[in-house]
Amino acid sequence: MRFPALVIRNLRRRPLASMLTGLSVSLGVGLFASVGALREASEIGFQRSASLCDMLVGAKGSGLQLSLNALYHMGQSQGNVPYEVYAELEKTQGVLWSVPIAIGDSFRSHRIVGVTSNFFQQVQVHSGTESRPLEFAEGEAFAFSPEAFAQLKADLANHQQGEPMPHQASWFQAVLGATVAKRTGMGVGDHFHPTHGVQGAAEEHEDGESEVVGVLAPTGTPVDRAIYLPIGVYYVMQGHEPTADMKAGGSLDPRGLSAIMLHTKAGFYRTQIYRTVNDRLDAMAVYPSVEMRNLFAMLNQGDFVLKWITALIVVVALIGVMVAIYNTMGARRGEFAVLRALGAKRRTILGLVTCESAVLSMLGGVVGLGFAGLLVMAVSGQVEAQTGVALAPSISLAELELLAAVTLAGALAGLVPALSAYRTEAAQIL
Amino acid sequence: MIHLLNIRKSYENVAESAPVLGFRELHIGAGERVALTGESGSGKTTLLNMLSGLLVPDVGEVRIDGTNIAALSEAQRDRFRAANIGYVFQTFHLLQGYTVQENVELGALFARGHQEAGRAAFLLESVGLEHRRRHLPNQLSVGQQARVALARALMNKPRVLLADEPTGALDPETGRQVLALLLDSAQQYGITMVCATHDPGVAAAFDKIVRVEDLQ
Ligand SMILES: Nc1ncnc2c1ncn2[C@@H]1O[C@H](COP(=O)(O)OP(=O)(O)OP(=O)(O)O)[C@@H](O)[C@H]1O
Ligand SMILES: [Mg+2]
Repeated sequence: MRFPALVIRNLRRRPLASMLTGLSVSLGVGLFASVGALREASEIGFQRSASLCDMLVGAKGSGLQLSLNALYHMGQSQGNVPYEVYAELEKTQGVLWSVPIAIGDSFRSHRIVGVTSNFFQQVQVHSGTESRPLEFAEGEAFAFSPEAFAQLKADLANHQQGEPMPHQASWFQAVLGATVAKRTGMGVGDHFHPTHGVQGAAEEHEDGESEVVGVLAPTGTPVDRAIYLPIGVYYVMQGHEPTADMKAGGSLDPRGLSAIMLHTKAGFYRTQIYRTVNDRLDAMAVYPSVEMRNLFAMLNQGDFVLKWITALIVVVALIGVMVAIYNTMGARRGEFAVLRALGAKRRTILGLVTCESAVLSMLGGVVGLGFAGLLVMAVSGQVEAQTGVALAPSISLAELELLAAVTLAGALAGLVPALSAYRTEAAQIL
Repeated sequence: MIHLLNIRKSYENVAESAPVLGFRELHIGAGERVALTGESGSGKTTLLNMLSGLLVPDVGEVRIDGTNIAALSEAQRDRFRAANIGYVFQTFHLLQGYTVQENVELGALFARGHQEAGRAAFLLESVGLEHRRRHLPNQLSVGQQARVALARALMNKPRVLLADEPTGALDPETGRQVLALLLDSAQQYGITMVCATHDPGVAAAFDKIVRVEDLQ
């Protein structure tokens, strides 16, 4: 029989009270930890996706909306950026690579993204300190080079209404993100019809039947949720020709680009490109990682309130622990008196009750962190299903600090009943 | 061994002019087994508590083996008690949430350096309860509880064994058995023993009888 065994035994003697009060601490700690952990995990996850390219160019508007629309396949497009912007950027010094993006079609609620084939060679997925290129689980990339895109643009400029569209059958090839392949059950060799519009239930493109030629390996980014087609297809399918009231080259011109992904040389060139694009009247450049950082800084404001509320729940739970232990003090006087008669110091009795409260709080805290872990994992699954962003749950120093704080607070709460135990006069009771 | 000198003890919360206990001297030799008798309320329990250091006299010395425990701080008295005193109560006061073996082990928990593996089992065997090691106190008869209480009191190898009416809660036959066990243990281990009782039959079994009233 040792002192720690005494503490544990005393908690187990009142299993129901110990469990209920411990669980209430778990609940509070779980909620408190989830708030921070979820935010942190999503921030890391979203930042990883933001680093697919270092700059985005799009129509003037909200930088956040541009980032969400172009990289995360969320929300609505704010309009198009003229093709000429892309053509100029292609030739700009300091641009390491650029990929034009067209968005607007979908297949069974999976967005179809038109890109040039260098997308598959250039884009890097960053996780931690590592960065890996996109890998194919099956098949390979389609062939639609930036040069082919430039050629198509030239052909379209000379195109007369009524003439057949200048395209080749070999363009109608698609690469699926990992999630799309899993959800639709499609693989290399399967055919599908894109539908117009991103919300589903819209009209099918009769002329847009495409064959799957490749499936990407999972990346934990929104890439998993997209279907990639050669961007040229967007320009030759019916329903995508400009109508008379859409000014060619304007931001509503469907033959513009939804966005341009850019990878630039860091430092002078990057800043220079950023400035030059933003000086234009028909385009803007944003750093997606900055947009995400600002978004999360804003969300953190809300976190702050939640943190206080959940901290209050922890405090209330600890008061519950205190009251539960305090209520047993009367019945335990005899026990304390016997321990004193066996040679226990008053301080030992004080320590015993304090430790009971601290250990109960700590166990509650451990279970609570477990709850938080499960919750974050569950939410991560949801978030990944919804956004393609794989969150990055982890046990950090903050969690261990939280556990230490809860244990200490539990000990403090225990001091109240412990002081009452301390005052037990053994000689009067035995 | 035990030497009490010029003792005065009154309870401050009682507005009585005469102290509960007041006497010149009480001497108990090493290994002596003494019965403490007296009317109810005469101060037997008070005297035992002073010997254990749970109470201190208002004035006077309580010397045990040369140490005046009345002059020690409370924490020092606690340490002294943990190391040197065994105490058997009238209602035994076994801790309910603990097994018989654990209750016995508790007897040495606070005596640093006195824990000894196997001693609890040895003591339980010597009081004839080794087969009840895993039982809880409320699964024992009162006589068995008394024997567990004795084993617990012996756990720290005390030099002084105090007992407060140890047979008071027992039927005569069981009382005799427990008393015999107490007296034998004290003799076997050379422990000085002081036992409060108002049963003359019990008192007669001791080496010496001290009437509290006669001390005054
Ligand atoms: N904590 C206390 N506060 C006030 N008075 C007390 C206290 N404890 C004991 N007394 C009083 O001191 C006197 C001696 O009590 P004590 O318990 O020592 O007697 P006792 O000889 O053990 O009696 P009994 O045979 O009934 O156990 C009694 O008058 C009692 O009322
Ligand atoms: Mg008494």
